[in-house]
Amino acid sequence: MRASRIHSRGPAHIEAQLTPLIDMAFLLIVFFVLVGQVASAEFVELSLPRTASDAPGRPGDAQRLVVNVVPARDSGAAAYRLGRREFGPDAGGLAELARTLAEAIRAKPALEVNVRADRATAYSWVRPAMDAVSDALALSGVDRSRVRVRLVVLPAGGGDG
Amino acid sequence: MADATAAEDRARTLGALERLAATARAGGPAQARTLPGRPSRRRARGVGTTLRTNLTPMIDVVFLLLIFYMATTRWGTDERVIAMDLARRTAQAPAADGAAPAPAPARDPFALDDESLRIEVLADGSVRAGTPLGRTMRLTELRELLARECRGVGSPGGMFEPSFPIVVAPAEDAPWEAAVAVLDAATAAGYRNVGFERRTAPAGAAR
Repeated sequence: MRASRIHSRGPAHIEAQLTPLIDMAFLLIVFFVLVGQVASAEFVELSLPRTASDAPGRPGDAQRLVVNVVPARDSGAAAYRLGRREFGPDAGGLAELARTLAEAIRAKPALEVNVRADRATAYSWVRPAMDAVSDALALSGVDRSRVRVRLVVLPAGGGDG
Repeated sequence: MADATAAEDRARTLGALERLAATARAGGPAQARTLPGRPSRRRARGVGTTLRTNLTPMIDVVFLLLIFYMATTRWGTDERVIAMDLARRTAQAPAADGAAPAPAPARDPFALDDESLRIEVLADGSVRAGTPLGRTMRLTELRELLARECRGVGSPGGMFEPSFPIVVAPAEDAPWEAAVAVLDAATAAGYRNVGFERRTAPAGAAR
């Protein structure tokens, strides 16, 4: 009399292999932490202007610099922010912003420069940011056609500010 | 003599048995307590024991962190961009070795500005279109007007070519949204040469 092979193995012992699951979860966490840091450096919390048409395009995959006009009360600007660096809204701060931009453009001429400003900010506070970008282009000596300058907006009927 | 020897042996055997019993009561070696041919209880319990870490709390925390980061990460995928050419400015290059910066080239006083449509953006969001339109209107009206007057397939009798320069000149206190809306209206109508008005004020003169 010989026992069947199934019964000879004894009771079934089923276990879930959780190691790959934990590995993936940790990788995803690291990914989101890094993406969150990059995003926080680029995006200041702003209420961007909303367009009525579908004419604006999607941002390209090119490496970009983002100049944020940090809003203040009374439609003003508290500072201008490039990455994690902040520049004062005075002549010295804007000159420093232009110099920093020029160095970055000189190092990578195929950059894309995006200007982000709050929808309620007065034009007189956004114009210096665009002027600083223009000054940086002149200071860098790079061909203007190689550097793309874009204004960041929200599309019609979608997204949150 | 023989009785004495037998009594001595009996006493020795009893002493040994008592010591064995005392050892068993005190929890001595398992071999002393087990009967031959039967496995000890301790060894039977120890066979196949594996150390396991309880991973459930860690997985709970990991998933909570994952959900937190997924929910709080801002992707910015909804953002769009309007391409533009910035006005060329004569920025002062840093003077080398203390030398005075080169003076800006003198402008020909008789040179005429390129013909363009200048659109002023006022603080209340309304717009004032310059020559040849020459009137103040709401943004929706300007949008329709620009689309209608852009010469192309849809409107062959339009007043302006798509390459006609359109200059947006927002007032100092005009909200950024209104300025961008005019730029967007011109771009959406099909004009390709749209930009903000060139200012002569140096960088930094915000107010």
